[in-house]
Amino acid sequence: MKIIFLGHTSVHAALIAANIYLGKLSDDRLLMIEGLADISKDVSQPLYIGTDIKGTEVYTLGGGKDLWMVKKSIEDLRDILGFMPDDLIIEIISSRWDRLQSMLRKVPSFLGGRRLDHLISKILLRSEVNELKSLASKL
Amino acid sequence: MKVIYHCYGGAHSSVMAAALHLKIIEKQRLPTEEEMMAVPYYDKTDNGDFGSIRFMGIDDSGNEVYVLGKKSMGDKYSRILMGVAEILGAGDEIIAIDCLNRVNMSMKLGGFLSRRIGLIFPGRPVLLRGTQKAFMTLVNLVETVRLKSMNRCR
Repeated sequence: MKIIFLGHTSVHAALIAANIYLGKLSDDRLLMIEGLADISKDVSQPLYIGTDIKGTEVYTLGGGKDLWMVKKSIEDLRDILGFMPDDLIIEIISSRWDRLQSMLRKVPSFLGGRRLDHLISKILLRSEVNELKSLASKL
Repeated sequence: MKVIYHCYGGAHSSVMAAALHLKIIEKQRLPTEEEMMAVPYYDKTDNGDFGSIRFMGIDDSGNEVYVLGKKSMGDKYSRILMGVAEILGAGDEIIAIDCLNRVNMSMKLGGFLSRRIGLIFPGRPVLLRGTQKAFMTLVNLVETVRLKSMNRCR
């Protein structure tokens, strides 16, 4: 089985949720998450995060603004390729800060956009850790 | 193999490309308005169809042909679909093609008027003329895809 945490990007809230699911987030220390807010890793392809004890492969994926549309397409693709719903689970991870983070990513790198996104994302996403934990625990 | 043509609404350029691929429309001459309107899904989708991969038919090499509307996500959507197929171990089984870059201004305007705000007149006549103008670029795209799918099948 595979799980894709589908977020606005693959390196913000979805990455935190995937790390929580895999039990990699200790003491809510977001700084420990490798690649958090590293937008260079968000390449519109599933990003492999790890495998849980049951052998489930965990990925994150950045789906842009309309996550329900992307989820529908992936589920349709899974079906037409002949896989069962349990072979690939898609979990939407949205954050109330998605829009703000998307605006921050538009700040050019030479004006410190990447650093700003990195710093502010960590601060903003910290407030979402509990919600993400309860979501990941349901899976 | 599965061939997925995608564009903004999955109603015009992707549908026309799929119709060419499946030989519903002949590539040698410009289609008439009646012929275009007879193509399944052509200018007939609504907002609920965004993201749905819709079956159009099976080509003469046995490939399944689909269409999809993905809003303004561009070629990123091809990477998403191919990436998901790869992790499922089926990366070689699909070809995803972005048709949005073959769309001209008349198709954009006509499609917007007809599908987005429901003004079938004057939207549809503008759209039909735009599709005729873009026809040869769609033919070229489909020929490239057909060759690609034949090479993959070998």
